Amino acid sequence: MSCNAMVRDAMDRDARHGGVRARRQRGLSLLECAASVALAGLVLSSSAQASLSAATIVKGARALAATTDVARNLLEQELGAPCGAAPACPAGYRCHVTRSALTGAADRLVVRVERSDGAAIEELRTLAAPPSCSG
Amino acid sequence: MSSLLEAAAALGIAGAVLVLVTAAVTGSVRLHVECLELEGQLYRARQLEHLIDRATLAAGAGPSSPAAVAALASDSVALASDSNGDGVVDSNSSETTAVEIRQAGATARVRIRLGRQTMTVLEAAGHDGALVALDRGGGSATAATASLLEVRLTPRDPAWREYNTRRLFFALPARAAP
Repeated sequence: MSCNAMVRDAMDRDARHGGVRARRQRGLSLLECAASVALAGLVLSSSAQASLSAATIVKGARALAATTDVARNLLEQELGAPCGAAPACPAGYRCHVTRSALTGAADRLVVRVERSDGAAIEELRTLAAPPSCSG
Repeated sequence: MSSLLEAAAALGIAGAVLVLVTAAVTGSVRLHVECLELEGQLYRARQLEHLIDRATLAAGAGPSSPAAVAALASDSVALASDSNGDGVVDSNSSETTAVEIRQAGATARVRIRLGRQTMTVLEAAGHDGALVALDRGGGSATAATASLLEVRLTPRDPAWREYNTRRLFFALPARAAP
């Protein structure tokens, strides 16, 4: 083999190996890219789920606090103005106020308030003197 | 050319991830603020309830059975009790507790006065405050017939009135006649 032929052969071999190396590198970088995208997606979806759960908890706490306020107000109205019309139930809630005689000197009062969307339920109970509404 | 494409793709992905991370962090901050606001609102509401409950439950108590409501106006109610049983309602101590609503511009302030000490318990910006006294039949009451107090905070913006009007009721316990 002449010197020129040897040099050409060496260059050909080098070019072939270089192409293989480039193809291997391209495959590797594609894999890396896919892995990093998958990882980022996983982290983001976990973060979104955590945020969603936290938002649901805060919304639930708000709903429960508002429902407790409604129930407390109904109970106070029933205690303070037992001879008037039944207190109005705010929009978005279902309310039940029950007064039943427990003894001659005490009634049992039960107020149950439920949000129409079912997000919160509150029930308050107390004892009250039977109302004397004559006159 | 392919490395340029790769760089553009990487930049696009990094940009999308950054936008999503920023949105997540913003959401988290908003949630945190919401939590703090809820905590503050509940704390102030419970504090007001506690202070007024303490006064309404004691109102009219004592061996001389003083009038539960010592004074009643459209923006204040004074509740009286003879806690130490000396036959006198002391106007300088917590035997006289008043609930007052003061309007400062667009802000309603609910204040509690224990004797001569006054403190603002609840501030509602953009609200009008009102104090209503009702009798046992649910009608408007005088000092002698009041048995239910209502603290009402109404938003000034009519669009918010239906769902954001805050009403707090406090019953005065019936007392046996002396």
